[in-house]
Amino acid sequence: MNVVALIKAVPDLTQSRYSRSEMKLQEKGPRLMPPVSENVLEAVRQIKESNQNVSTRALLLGNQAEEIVLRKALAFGLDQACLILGDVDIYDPYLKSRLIAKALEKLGVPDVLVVGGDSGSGSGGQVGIRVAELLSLEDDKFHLIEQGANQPRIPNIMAIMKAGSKELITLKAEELLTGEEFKSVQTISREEWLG
Amino acid sequence: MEDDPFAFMRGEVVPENAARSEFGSASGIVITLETDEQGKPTKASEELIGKALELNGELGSRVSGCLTGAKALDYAKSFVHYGLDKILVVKDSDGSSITEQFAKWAEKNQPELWMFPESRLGRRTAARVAARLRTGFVNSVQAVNIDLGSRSMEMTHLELQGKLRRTIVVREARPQIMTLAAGAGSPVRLSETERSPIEVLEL
Repeated sequence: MNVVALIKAVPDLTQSRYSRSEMKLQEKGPRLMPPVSENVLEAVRQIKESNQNVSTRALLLGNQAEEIVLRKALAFGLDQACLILGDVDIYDPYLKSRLIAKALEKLGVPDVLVVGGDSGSGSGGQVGIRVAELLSLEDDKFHLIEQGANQPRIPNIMAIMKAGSKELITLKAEELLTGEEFKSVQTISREEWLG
Repeated sequence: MEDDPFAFMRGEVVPENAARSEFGSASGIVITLETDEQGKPTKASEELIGKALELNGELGSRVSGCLTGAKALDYAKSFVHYGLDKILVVKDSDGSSITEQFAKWAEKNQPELWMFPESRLGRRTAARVAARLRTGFVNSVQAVNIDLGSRSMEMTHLELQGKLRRTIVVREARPQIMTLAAGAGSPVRLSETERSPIEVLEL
């Protein structure tokens, strides 16, 4: 059984500052794995522990610096990881979900897809649900894990060291969707930082 | 492609500066209604109706409520005094998912706005319908302004743990899909004299 965990990386709001002149969040420090993604990884770990012949993969859409988040996912005991390299707005669930679905078609549509619910960081957890729909995964093959749904076990030092040597493949977003396909249908018209 | 009014729903027509004319005859608001176990309208559904009617005051189109499930026809009667133009009941028919049925209906009727309640099921169904129709979906919308020129909704919600208020517009696809945040609805007035017609859909 092929199980995929869809995880995300979010800005570190304790370090980042919002630039009112540029109307943009100036991110500082590496992006972090949100708690809901840890819940996703714990759920996948439990599936693996209670079934035989399970292969697990973590998948993330982001930039090269976010490889560290995938390595953390591998420390949770997953077998492989895939980074989709793409400069996509943190709030663009339409494009993000289409890229991830394309990547999963290329890698092999999973038997089970595990995604996180709302992390409070953007689109309310809709990316994972959209991916499930694009891949025609009904609810029996699709697990939506809400934040706090389980108690993630913190990886020990051995698991963290082992994660460094596990397979991590990279796919480029512009090779998954090209031309007109690599285009969103929605735009941001206004932002206001409330702090 | 211009001969195919449904092409935009498959993402085939994505023109720059798309406006209403590119979206064929997309018009009308659909709201997905929910009830409690006794068939009574939920507060979220009432808020949704109020907001949809308010928006329709500017759009000048029609508002249809939509119910699904085994008891949908019985429960639809709870909504007939809310001032909706029509109540649609989707019958469980061929075993296809709610998403498939909604998508089929949308392809046929081309609504310009589809509103769901901000519930677990509402958000889940909205995201699936948006994926299938290749359109935009904004969750937990707190405020809506209408650009009447393009008939686009400027949908505002909070991100980054409530630190960022962002306004998003779905410019290049229809329907525009949203879930309405709790408390963002408008008051709704019941009318004992008017009754909305109920239509059973066989999809």
